[in-house]
Amino acid sequence: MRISRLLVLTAVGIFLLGIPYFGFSAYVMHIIIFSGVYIVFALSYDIVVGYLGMLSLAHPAFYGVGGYTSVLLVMRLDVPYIIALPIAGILALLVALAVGYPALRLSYHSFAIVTLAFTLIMRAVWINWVSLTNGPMGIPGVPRPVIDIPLLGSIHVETSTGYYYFVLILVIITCLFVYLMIHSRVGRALLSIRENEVLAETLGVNAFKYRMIAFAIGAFFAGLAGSFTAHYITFIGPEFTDFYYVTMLLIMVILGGSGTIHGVIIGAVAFTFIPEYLRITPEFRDVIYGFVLLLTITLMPEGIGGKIDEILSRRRVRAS
Amino acid sequence: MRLLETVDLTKNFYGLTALDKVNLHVNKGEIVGLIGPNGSGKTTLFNCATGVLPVTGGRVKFRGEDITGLATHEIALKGLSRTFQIIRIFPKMTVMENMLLAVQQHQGERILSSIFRTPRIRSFERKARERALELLEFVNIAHLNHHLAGHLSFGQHKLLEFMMALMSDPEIVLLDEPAAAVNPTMIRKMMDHILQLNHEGYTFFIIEHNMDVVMELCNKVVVLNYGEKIAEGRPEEIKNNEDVIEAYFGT
Amino acid sequence: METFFQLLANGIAFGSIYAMVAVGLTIVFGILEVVNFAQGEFYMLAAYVTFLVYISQIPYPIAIVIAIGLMIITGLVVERFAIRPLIGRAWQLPILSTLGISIIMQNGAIVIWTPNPRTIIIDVANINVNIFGIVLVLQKLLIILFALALFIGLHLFIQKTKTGKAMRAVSQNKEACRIIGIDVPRISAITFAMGAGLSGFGGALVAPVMAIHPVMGILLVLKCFAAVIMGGFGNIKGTIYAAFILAIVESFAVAYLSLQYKDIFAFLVMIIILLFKPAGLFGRKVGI
Repeated sequence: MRISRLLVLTAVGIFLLGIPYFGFSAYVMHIIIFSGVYIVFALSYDIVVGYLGMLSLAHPAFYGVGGYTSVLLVMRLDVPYIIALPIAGILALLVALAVGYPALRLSYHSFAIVTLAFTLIMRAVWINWVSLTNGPMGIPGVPRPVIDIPLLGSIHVETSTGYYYFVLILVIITCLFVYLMIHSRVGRALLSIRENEVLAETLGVNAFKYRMIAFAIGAFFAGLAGSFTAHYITFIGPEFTDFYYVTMLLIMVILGGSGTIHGVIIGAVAFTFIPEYLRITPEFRDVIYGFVLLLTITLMPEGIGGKIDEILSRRRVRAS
Repeated sequence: MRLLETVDLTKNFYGLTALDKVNLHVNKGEIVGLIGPNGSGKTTLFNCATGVLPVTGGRVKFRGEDITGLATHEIALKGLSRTFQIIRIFPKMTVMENMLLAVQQHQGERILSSIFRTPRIRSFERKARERALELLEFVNIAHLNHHLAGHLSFGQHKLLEFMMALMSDPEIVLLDEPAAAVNPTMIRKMMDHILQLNHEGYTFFIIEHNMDVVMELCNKVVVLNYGEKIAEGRPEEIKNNEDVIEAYFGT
Repeated sequence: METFFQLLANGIAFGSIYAMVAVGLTIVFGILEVVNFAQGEFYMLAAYVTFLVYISQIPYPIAIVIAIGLMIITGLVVERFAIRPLIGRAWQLPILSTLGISIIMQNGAIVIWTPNPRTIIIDVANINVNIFGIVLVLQKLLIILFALALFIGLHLFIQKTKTGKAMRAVSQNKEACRIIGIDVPRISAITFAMGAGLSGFGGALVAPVMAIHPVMGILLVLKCFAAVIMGGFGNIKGTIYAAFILAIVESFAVAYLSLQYKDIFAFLVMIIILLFKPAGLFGRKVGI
């Protein structure tokens, strides 16, 4: 089983590396790059919703924090992008710690509402703190990433191909991190808190600490996604912290399969591509999303990823 | 040495007094039994001692240190372990994963090093696995370590829960009705395990209804009734104590 | 230049609406243990229904009744098909369900009616009434009076009627109610319908004084969430007090502080309260 899995991964890896050479149009490459961003964004959300099990509505805020941070660092303080990117993630992480410290003590319901309030407050901040954020107009003309490697020169990320490989690296880093986390003590602790918090505490697991950790890590990767997006579309604005992203993330994570890496990836890619090919207004799309969400919750709450896992484990049981 | 001690421990629930100024102590190396009719406050006492319930009055001390009001996980890390009346394990995880969960590094635990499996973490995990296998072997369920915990039989659940309580190498283990709903052979095995572990240095504080178990295992017995301690002493003394008899059977 | 009492009266008027919608939220939480993220949409839809009925030359009072009626029916449908099947499973599911419904309703409203605000002008409602020097349009005065009557009626209903008592019982101990034979699903349906109706009543009442647009519900309901959290989930009295406090604070803050951050005052108050009292100002009372 391990060898076949390795072979599959290698094949997938080669396929992914070759994508820019398959002759896709610029438009398709654009969608592919965005699905990469949303994979990172959705996985970051799944850490909180799937592994930690709390309904956070704050993720669009962290996306925005990441975007604004890296744009302001690069444009106002001349910080090289290679440094601005991780700082964007770290700042989002710190904001999450600050919000989480009081919010994670609340009941699950209050937590959901407070995180929603936080997202709206951040949106109001982006719109109203004009001296910092340029207000509702946003900041256009965000420079494309320039990565300086000492002795080797600079890499200018400007083309589809360049952005693709960049987002591919981000996706791989995120998937790797999430995978390692799930299979580590941290992942086990999170799972134990989700399954039976009293028991976990009795065994010495500090539930609050792990909640903070999951919330903060989720924010970190959301911040990275936000930063990448801002420097890809060369624009940052209050729209980054739109409530729409909550809908989108929920569908990707729940329909994709909360708690499974492959499920969330499928959800992210599917829901980046599908809306592009549905020539309908954004509102009509959202009505459909609402129905999809309802149907998924009622009929298949484990999502596609969960279904896949079910089928695979049934096969494994039969084999033994 | 008084390992675990309660001083005037009081617990009120919206006007109902579940524990009323209870004073008791467990010395190191002892096996102490906690008995009393249903509703007398035994499990409540355990819950207060382990930080699961907030205390209304009085204090709980562990090794002389005041642990009243500490969070459950902090108390667990100090060396106090417990099992529950209704068995608590993680049914969707494997037996080994259940055991591994029961070992926590102390507060200096590094998250990133856990995730990236530094050599220190890896050796820590290896030692944890070895200890888990040792404990599971002790109660003869080591061969099941890859099975989902939910698939075990009831008796095996109890043993797993018991061993999980030992993973952190606690000084004292609070057992809540270890012999409940268990067949006689199993009870015998349980008692042997407890005695053996006691020889190895573990202290036990046991809630039990099964009087044979109490009589045979315990050095000392504390009796609660309606939240009050009504008697304390060696098992033989308690057996003939009039107050105790009255509490259980009425006059 | 608005006087202190003018601002206060304004706050009370808005507080009445917040309270109506918030009470709907709190009883649904108390009895179904579900946070209804779609509560604002019942308010919004009722406003639209009132608008549509009124411009069809039907008198405003009848429009109110129709709007409330439709919201009650919608509430029953939603509860039966989108919430009841999910109760008892993971706690997030019903909430996500109401979120989905909220998304459908909001965007559906945009699709059907466009984002452009609608208004209805009812001349009678706009008469300025002068009480002790405070000037209010008649409608706002009516809102306050209706709310008062509503809350009194609600109190009597819950304290005196059989259904009301059953509701109190369910909010305290659902399992016990099932055992003694109370029809819990029926009570849940009634409660949810009431919640929708309360919200709808609010929407119908503000239709003559506010612009009607698809996102009016979301802006309102978040403040009502704040009121529910502050007042204690399931605690009707607490929620009502909190709603009025929030509306009054908002009224003064907008006048003396900043119009820009107007909508987030409620949240700031809520967050500050939660920092010191995580269970809300009045705590989560067990029971209504």
